[in-house]
Amino acid sequence: MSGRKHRGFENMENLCPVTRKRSTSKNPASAVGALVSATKSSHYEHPSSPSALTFEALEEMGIGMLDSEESSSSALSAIALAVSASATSDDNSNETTPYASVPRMAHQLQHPQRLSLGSSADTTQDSTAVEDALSRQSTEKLQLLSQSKRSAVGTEGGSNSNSPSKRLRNPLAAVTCNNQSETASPLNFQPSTSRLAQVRQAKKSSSTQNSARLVPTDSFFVYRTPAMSAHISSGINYFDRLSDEIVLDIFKWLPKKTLLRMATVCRRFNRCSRDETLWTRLDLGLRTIRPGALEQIVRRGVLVIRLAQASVQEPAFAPSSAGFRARLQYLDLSMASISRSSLRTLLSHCRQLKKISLENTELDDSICTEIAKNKALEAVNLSMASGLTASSVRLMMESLTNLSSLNISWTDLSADAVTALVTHISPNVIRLNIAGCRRVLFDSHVASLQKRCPQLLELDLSDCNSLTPAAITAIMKFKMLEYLSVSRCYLIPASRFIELKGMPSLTYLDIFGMLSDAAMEVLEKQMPKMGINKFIHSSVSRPTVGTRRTSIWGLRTRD
Amino acid sequence: MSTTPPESKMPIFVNLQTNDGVVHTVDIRLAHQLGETICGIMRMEEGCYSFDIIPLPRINGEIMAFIIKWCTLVQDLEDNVMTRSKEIFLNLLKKDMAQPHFLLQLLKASDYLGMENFTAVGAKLLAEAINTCRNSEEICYRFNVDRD
Repeated sequence: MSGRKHRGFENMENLCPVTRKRSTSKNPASAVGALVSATKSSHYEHPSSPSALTFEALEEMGIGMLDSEESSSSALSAIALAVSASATSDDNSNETTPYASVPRMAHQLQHPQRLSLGSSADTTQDSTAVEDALSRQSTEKLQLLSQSKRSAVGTEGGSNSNSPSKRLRNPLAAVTCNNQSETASPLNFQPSTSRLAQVRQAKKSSSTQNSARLVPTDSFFVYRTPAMSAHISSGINYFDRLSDEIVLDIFKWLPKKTLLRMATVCRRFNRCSRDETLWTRLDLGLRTIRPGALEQIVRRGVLVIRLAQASVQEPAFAPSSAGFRARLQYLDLSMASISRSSLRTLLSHCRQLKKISLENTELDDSICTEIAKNKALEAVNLSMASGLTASSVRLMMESLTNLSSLNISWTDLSADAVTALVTHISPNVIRLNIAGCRRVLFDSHVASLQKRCPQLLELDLSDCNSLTPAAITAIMKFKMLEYLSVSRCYLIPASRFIELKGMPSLTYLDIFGMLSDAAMEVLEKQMPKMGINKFIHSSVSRPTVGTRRTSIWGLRTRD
Repeated sequence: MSTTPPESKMPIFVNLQTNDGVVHTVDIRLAHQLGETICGIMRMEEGCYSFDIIPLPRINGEIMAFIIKWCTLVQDLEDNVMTRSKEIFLNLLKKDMAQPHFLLQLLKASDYLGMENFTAVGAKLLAEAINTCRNSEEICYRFNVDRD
């Protein structure tokens, strides 16, 4: 476990807006509410066997509730757990008298449920009817419970001592639940709280005389007496018996929102939920990151972040933050709106970056210096970035020796910068996109490039309109080149393209905007094996190619 | 006590005694499925299968019964154990109308036994159960977790 400071609700505040946004965008509550009310109303009309009814209803609700394809079954299981939980957790009231006889426990079982059904008064009236319905289930459960209690009570004497404090806390919980259910539509609450509704439903189908009493869910909580609340709360916390590894195993299946919720439950969960293995990837594309949130995110040890088109609000980092090393390896900040200072601070914490995309962001020399310190960088995408100077380009090329793909297109490079680029670029580069260097990229540069990186596989020289046919001669020297683009390099006549046939490795040629349709046809006939004009957009170093949006560089960003 | 090979056609039983004194008798093939812990003990016994009782002090009778039920249903599955076994798990839980505590106990037991599949499936189910809780108060409430 990483020893992180316990920040409690601070983190929630910062991270909640991010997650909250997701929830509002998806708007599950109202959708489920509609489903729930729909199914419940339908079930009032069609009583059927308890199990079928409950599970059907819940299946429908489950579908709206969870994203996974197993949502229905999981909802069912959850509800099954919930239903029994409500019945048996009330039995936990017998904590102090574990060896009570079964009939007595059955009776007590009826009590809490009677109370929960909205009548604060007599418990004897419908107890027989309720008992009939539940006797089968309850006796089984009670036996189960008494058995487990016998073993549990022996070992968990400590939990009893917690009861007084639990008693104090519980009424608050009851009130909170009530508030929430009141603000939402009556049947909006998820199956778990309307577990009482489930119990209600289970009994309802078997004994219709209860239907008159069964008014909407929210009122139930109000009528629960403090004594009963205490009984419910004084159960054994089985989570304490699970090792941290198992807890992590459970947590790893939780979506981030739930994970954050778990962090607010107790200290142990908070500690477990901060584990780095749970926070390896994060997709925050198109979101607004509140001030200070980015620092929290990075501190959690995230490895892969997608922040494409996100807007990072100032100040993203606390002034005192320094010295901690982020584990970040794959960073996608394409089209993100982030200030230079925040970007610099962010990158100053990163030394293990492997792939970075800063497409269309504002840079300066200090930022490039920080980038250069990530020696492990393999792919850099600086397409359409602004603020690159010759010195920063040179520094980056000299330092990033492991670089294999570089996209530095449309960055308004000066002639010096281009010279620096081609003279210092790492020989390991196999994919290079320097499109858009109008009037600054010359044939000599291509020649130097060839000498520097003879193993280049992909070269994009589109819109470098200073290139002349001499460039083709230089290009022909690339023995392994598979893809070449010289689109819109108007000084190169069409006749020279046919020479490219002599390159055995060249498979794809992009020459957009160079030839008329007729000429294209002729060329295609002359070069039948060449894929001409197949790729409109370059994919060099790009994190997301095509329509894929949930992964960057082939790495998943969503759990 | 003769040493009998595990692949013998004769049904050999292993006795497992849980902490509440109940002795569960399981087929040897099933017992092998019951995770590393039991397998290890059986290996140490070196073939004295039929008569010895393997004590499982940390496991409840109920839990054991459930696990055995699950194993009997799962042992015939070849591929894609995860999804199918999860469904089976779920069905068994539903049949018993189990409570979250039961699931937690199951998880603990399967961890003790060293049954990876079971633990994985159980963890996933529990995670889904947690996921249904709308807020942290509910989680507190349902699983009896102390707030601090």
